Amino acid sequence: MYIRKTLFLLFLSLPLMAEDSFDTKFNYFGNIALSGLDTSGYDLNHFNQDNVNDVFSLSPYSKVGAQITVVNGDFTFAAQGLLREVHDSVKADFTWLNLKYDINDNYAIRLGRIQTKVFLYSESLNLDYLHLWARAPSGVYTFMPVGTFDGLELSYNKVIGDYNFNASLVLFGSYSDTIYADKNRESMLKVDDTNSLFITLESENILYKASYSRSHTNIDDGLLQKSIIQGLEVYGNNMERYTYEDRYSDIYSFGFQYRGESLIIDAEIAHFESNSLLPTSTGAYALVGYKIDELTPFVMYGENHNDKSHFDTSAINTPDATSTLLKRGLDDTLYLTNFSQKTASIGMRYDLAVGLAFKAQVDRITTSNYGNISPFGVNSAGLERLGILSHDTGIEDKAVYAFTFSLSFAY
Amino acid sequence: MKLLIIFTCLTTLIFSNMKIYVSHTSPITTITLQEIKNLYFKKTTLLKGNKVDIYDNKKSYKQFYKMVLKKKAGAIHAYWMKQIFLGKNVPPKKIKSSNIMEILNKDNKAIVYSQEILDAKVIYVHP
Repeated sequence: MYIRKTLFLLFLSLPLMAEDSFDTKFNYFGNIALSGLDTSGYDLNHFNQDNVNDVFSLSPYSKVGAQITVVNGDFTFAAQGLLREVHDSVKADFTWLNLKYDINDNYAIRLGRIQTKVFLYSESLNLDYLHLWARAPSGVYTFMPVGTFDGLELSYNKVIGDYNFNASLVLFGSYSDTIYADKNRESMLKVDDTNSLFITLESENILYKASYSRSHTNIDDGLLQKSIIQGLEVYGNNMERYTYEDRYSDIYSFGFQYRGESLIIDAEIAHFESNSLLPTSTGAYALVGYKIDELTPFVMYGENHNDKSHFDTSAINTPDATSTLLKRGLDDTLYLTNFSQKTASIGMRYDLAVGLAFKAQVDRITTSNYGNISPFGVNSAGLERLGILSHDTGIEDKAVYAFTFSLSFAY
Repeated sequence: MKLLIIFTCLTTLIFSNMKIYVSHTSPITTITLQEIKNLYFKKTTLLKGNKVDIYDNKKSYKQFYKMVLKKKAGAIHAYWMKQIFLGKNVPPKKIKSSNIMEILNKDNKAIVYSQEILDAKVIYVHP
């Protein structure tokens, strides 16, 4: 709140600070997407949005956004609003609300609401027109449950021959939002003290990106989970570490992009670890596309591995039937996200006009090590953070196909 | 008659060449293709250590990006959409061909392209 007030005051003082005239730009973007799965009993959890199930619907990938950019000398103010449907209700957010000051040709400072830069396309994730895919590779992109931070960014930029080097440091980032453990169960996610380093090296055709982020995270433990933990503590067990609350998370990533005359390649690998109940996750994907005039067909393959092997529950004291039952409940919580997913995709993009593209994508998704180990399931908070495929208890594991068709624009 | 045709062709060729202009009072005398790319994609605002102001010429816009920077309209649009929506930068100011001289006379940091012959310093001629 303090940052927003400061930013507002800074924006109001722009005319006093600058001698140059204002250069104002208004731009808008959107995505009209139809998506669905071919199998009932499954849900495709994606980021923090509505689920995709076996009924084709316009959500969750449909959205509309607008941005106003005001440039005044070395100051740039940007405000971007995004409107989309989240869990059956319309949600409006500021996805950019910041003031940038270019100190000189190499250094810049930005204050306010800033989109995360963790992955290659984190900053432009809502700008579907800019991407080849119709649905982002969730095996990697769902590692990051939030898209924006309120904080401070310092960046260094240097042109070295044909290459452009950029290093950015995001400090004191904070964010809070409602997340969904499943479609009907809300939880509060709070992220603060986020400090990140992003490094990119870019030429006309090639881009390398590496990043590291550390955040203090807080997700409300579910009531059932709390009851299980408290129950096991009664038996003299130290259960302090079995929580989502007041923990730290680290994300490392490395990405590569190639844009040739016709050939397009994207590849990215990311690793997430936390001392909370969230699993340790490693994910990667590769995309290859080939541009033939306005048509660009592509194939994409991604997989991620999530496990909580660092939580060894075998030492938990279970002297009687009640404590054994409680421990099984805890194991459920751990095992629910202890799975791996593979996604093979085929798709195409057709550029209908400058600023307008039609895209289609089919994903074949398979999972392994999925599900709870006891007959009663205990959902773990933050399940949707892992995104991806969830299915009703008792349904046999099999390949699921997701279909996405979209019309994307940006002007 | 032959001479007239050759003269007309040569004149057309010279006139249609894309040229980069600065003010007569500008300290800049040359620019490389890579420097043009860096400036017009706003990778930098400096040229040989001098701060410069970049302008697009409405009349020659498409030809400049196609001939000199080898970029199609769709690619240029996508590039600036990315820059704008990522809060990085906005495209150079577009000016009318008839305003170029006024800007060059007023601003010795100005850099602009044109296919016309102007009373200003030429720092690059696209072959």
